[in-house]
Amino acid sequence: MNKELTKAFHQSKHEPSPHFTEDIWFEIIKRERNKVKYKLWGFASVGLTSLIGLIPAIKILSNDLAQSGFYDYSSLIFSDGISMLSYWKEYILSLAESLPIVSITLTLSLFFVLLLSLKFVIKQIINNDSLITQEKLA
Amino acid sequence: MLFNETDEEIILLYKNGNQEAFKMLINRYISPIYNFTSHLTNKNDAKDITQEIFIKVWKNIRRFDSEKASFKTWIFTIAKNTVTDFSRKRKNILFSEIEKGFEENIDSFSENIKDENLLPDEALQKLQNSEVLNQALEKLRLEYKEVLMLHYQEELTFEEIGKILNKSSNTVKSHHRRALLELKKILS
Repeated sequence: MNKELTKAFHQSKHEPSPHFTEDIWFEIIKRERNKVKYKLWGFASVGLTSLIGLIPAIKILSNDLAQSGFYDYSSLIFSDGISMLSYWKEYILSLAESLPIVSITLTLSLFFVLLLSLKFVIKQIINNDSLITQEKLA
Repeated sequence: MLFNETDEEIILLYKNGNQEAFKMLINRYISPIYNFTSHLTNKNDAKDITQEIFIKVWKNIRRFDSEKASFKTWIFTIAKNTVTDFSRKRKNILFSEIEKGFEENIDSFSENIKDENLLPDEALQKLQNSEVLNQALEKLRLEYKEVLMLHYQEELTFEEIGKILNKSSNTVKSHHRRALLELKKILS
C-alpha cells in the first residue's frame, strides 16, 4: 500500500513555472541590494559625522596639549636631551601627567569610528558590486 | 555548479560568501515547497507563499543549525508556519475548531486496524488517477493533508514530520491513520 500511495502522490505533484527560481532569485538580490544600500548610507553617515566631529576634537586636543604644558615638556628633549635622559623616569611621569586624557580619548574614539565606518563602507561597495555581477550573470 | 554537495555543504558555502550557493538551494527545493504550499492553499496563492518562504529562509539561514535538524526539516517547518500564517490572515480555517473537532472524532475502532489495511485495493486504484487524488486531498483536513503530503510526497519519516508540525510522532501516526480512513470515506 505504501509504495502505491507514494507513487500516486508523486504523480499528483504540482510543478512551478520554469522561471520561478529566477523570479525568487531576482527578488532576493533586489532585497539584498536594498539592504546593502541602507547599510552603505548608514555607515557613510556615521563616517562623515565622525570626520566632522574630528575637526573640533583635534582643535580641543591641540589647545589642551598647549594648556597642560605637554608641548613645553616634550620640547625639553630637544633642548636639553642629556639631562632628560638622566632623569628619564621623572620626565616620562611629567609628560604622562600633562596628557589631556579626555580630549585624547575623544579624538581617538572618533578616529576609530571613522576607520571602522570606512572599512564597512568598502565592504558594502564590494558586496554591491558582486550583487550587480550576479544580477547580470542571471 | 553544485550538484553533489549536501544541503549542509551548500549552506556552508553560502555562509562563506558564495552567494550563488543559495540559488542552488532554491533550485533544489522550489518544486517540493511549491507543491506543498499549492496543495495546502491553492495554486494562485502558492507562488506568493513560496516566494515568502524562500525569503524567510534567506533571512534566517545564518541561524540554521544542522545539529538540531536537517535542512529539509527546517525548510518544511518554515513552509508549514508560513502557510499557517497565510491561512490565519485569510481566515480560511478556524484552527481551534479543527483541533476540537479532531479530538472529538476519535474512533477507537479505527485505531485497531493495521495501517496496511486502511485503504482497500479499489481505493488505491482510484488514487492512481492524480485528478481523483487531488480532489480527495482538497476535501481532507489541513493536518491530515500535511501528514500525507510530507509522508508520501516528500518521503519523510513520522519523526521528521513530527518535528516539522511540532507534534509527537505518535500524534503524527494517528493523524496518518485517520487521514487514510478519511480518504477511504471520501473515495467511497
